[in-house]
Amino acid sequence: MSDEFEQELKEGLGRVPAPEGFADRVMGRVARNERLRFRVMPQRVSYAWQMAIAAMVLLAVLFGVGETVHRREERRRAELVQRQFEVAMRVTGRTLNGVGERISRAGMKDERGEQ
Amino acid sequence: MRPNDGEFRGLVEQHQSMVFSIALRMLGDRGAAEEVAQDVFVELHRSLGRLESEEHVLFWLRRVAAHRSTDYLRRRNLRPEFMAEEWTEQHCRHVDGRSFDAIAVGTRLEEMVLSLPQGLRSAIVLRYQEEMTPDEIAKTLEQPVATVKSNLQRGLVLLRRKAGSVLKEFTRER
Repeated sequence: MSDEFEQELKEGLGRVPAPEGFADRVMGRVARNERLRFRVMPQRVSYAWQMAIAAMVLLAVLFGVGETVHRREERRRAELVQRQFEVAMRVTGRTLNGVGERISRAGMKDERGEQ
Repeated sequence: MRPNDGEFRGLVEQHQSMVFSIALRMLGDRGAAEEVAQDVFVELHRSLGRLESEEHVLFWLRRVAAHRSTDYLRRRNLRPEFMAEEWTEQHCRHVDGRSFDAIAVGTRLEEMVLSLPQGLRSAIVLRYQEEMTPDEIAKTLEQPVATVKSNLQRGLVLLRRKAGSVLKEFTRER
């Protein structure tokens, strides 16, 4: 929907005539096979490419984050297993000590009985 | 297309006003606009073999005129608003057949357009000078349609805001 202001813009921004002799000057340059006066800037990266690059960067970031999370989780599990192993070793040690004490006590009773 | 010199001259004469006007509205300087417009036609002459029809030529000219003007601004790091005063004076001498008031109001509109950021300006120029649709502008500027629509909206908001103060000032001066 075009309002009054947009209408004014259309009227105010109408085309202006090219300077006198413009076409002659262009034809002169074409005839002389002149180079462009201004270097053409490198081609703009198209929208599709921008999106593709953004998607690749996003995937790389997601992969990196996923990998970091996975490694952290593995380290946490390994630490847990290590702690469980240490607890198990302590329990086993204590049990073995208890068994050893009981054996020594039983040995001492036997010696007294024999005497 | 493989036109001879006469036919190519016909193309230049047919489209020179459009290409020059796009460059002028983007750059705000007649000398720079003519240089850029000439370059666009020299480039057209080299690229004609790849262009298939009149419509293709028109599309190509609009796109290359907009891009080369942007390149010029980027290369020279020009801010057209700084040149607006000088440009106004030159421009008034070249516009014929319009009343002083129409020229003055039109010139102020052009100054306001020149003060817009480059991205908004190119969308506004193609929309209101060339009367192109947002879809056509998007294809020409190689931008998503949503970006073009947003640039047009933001440009219009800025222009309305500027017009409010500038046109009040103009009425006071008259």
